[in-house]
Amino acid sequence: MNTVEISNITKKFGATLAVDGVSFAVAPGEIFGLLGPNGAGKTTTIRIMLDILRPDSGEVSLFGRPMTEQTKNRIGYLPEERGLYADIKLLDVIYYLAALKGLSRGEAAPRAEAYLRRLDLWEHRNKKLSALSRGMHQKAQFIVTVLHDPDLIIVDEPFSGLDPVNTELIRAIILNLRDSGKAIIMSTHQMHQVEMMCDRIVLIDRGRVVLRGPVQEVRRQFAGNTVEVSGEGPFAELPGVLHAHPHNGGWRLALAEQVSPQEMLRILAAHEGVSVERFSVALPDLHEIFIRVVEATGDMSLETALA
Amino acid sequence: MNKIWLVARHEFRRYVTRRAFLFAVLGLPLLLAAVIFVVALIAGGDATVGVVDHSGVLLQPELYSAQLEDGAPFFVAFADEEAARLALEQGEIRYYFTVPAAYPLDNEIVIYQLEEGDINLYDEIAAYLRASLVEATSVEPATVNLLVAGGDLPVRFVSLREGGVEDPFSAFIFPFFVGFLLVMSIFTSAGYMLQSVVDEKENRTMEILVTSLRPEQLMTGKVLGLVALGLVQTAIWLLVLLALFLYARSRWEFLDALTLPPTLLFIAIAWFIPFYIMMASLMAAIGVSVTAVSEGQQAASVITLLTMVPFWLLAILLEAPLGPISVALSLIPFTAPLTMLVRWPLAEIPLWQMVASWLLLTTAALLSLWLVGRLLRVGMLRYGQRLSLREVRGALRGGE
Repeated sequence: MNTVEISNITKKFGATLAVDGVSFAVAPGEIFGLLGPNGAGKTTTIRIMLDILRPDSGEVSLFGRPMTEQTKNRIGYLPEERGLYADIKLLDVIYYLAALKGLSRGEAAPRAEAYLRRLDLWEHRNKKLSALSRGMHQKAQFIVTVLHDPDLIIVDEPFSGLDPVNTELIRAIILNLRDSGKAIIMSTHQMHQVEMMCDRIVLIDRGRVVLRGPVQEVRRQFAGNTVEVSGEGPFAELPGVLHAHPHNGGWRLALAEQVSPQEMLRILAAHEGVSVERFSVALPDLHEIFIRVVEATGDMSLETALA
Repeated sequence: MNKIWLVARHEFRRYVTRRAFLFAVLGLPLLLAAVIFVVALIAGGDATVGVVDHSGVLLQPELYSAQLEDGAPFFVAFADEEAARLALEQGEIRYYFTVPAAYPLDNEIVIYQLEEGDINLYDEIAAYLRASLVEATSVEPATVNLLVAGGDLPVRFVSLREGGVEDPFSAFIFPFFVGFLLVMSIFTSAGYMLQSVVDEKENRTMEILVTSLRPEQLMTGKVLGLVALGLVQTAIWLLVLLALFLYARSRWEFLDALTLPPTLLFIAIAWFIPFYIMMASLMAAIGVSVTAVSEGQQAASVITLLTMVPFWLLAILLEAPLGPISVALSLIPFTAPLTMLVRWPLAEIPLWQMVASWLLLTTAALLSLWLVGRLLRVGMLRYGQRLSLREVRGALRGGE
């Protein structure tokens, strides 16, 4: 059973169509990337999913049924902008919000200690939040999101304001949670994180899903007529190669239109004086795909983006 | 239910430990106590006053002093001015006055002092002189007492109108003061409520909260927490006030007329709890609808003004506690608690008015609580945008 199923939801704010027929499903044990430019409708989609907003049409099902009060205890949500209570001690904030998720003090205390120690906040536990740095705040809020061991975790920009060390800590926790069977929805603009962590993505622009699928499949879909080789040989002079430039210690070869990567492999194999150590179809990174898709959907269809 | 309790406890604890709250709770009684003690100190008048009587008209000072109440000055006779001045300079007495030989034909009395004098001393000396002059004539002691009492002749007003009371001023002043304190504490809690809601809305904690519990539960919890806070504040104030009142009454006889009807407590509790709930809910509703605390305060001040109407129309309430304006103010939820408190000691309020007043107020309180839960659904995510009236109406009708 899918943890989240969203079918064809639509939401209008005044004259603006914020979400327009968005559908997707998220299964336990996967990290699902919810991508899109600013103002695309990601946050509205999340809020509808969480029953903070009601959709004009369409349906949301969580754990196989509409949202109930009991369901809320199984969800952890890290909103995009963060505040919490500035004038309260860190540990008290954690206990309060955990209690609202149905966690007793006895259950919360050892878990809070474990997370606080893991994220290097234990010695700050009795400080007021206003005395903590932005990065500490961020980590504190992450703890609040996952402390009650939710089965569905929704994180909006979980790495913003974190240094590389802390980013690594949070990423490790998210990956652990995925491996223990939680469904995770991650919204972020950090495309390299999406590439490293997400199993599947949807890309929303202007309220509509413009791209979806497993990350590797999406990248393959956008692979142009370019291959990457490493080895020895006059790659630039081979037939079918438009131009070659050095890339990652090897070469990136742009192929003529009628030459497929398969054919290039044959040419390489047949050519004397060429030794190939590695050959792969060059996949564009998500960053590139994101820009191509979003720019294209501005006024044209997806086909243009794929071309 | 459980989550409502968690929110209520959280809100209560959050504000009860604040310095500003402690300041408000302890500050007012301390201020009152300070005022009373300063007054007691000034009016204390344990002063010893020297008397140099050249005329022989005055009553023997020590004998006269013996029949005075505690706290009045003690008069001591001196043979001449030199002896009195010496005593003054040595600090044995604080004042002395001289009575000329031809008194009362020559009626210039001179009071000598080292520092600025006590205004009350004039009255004390005047009473002494009057008592002495009366003694010199041959008048009945009862008549003497009336004469000595001067302007303070005991007079009682009796109202023959139905339900009237003997002394409206003394009867209403204490309930009025209690009402004033209750309103003050409501404004404190209401201010916290406004701030708390706007903060949570602006820093998005609200999103975490409403994905943990229902907006209605959240709001009920907040209202209950802050009502509890307000009641604690009021209870402390009232206890201190009562203590000071009893102290002051034991010290100054003129306060004897002030009474505190025990049933007043019943009115205060029965009317002010729903009133608290209504005010806290309305403040939360304002907090949900606006984007900044300052913006909310404008709307809040309108409600404050409404609440204060009985203060402005006090004269009418006193004049006609059963009149149409008194009845109208009792029925309007915003003005009902204060109006009832003021009317209660003044007149026999008909039962239907009591019931109608309480039911209307309680209904308004529950309605406000319900309203704020509904509004939260629409208002909580409108960061940086005010709710339009149209949206408020829409929220009340049901959907979004």
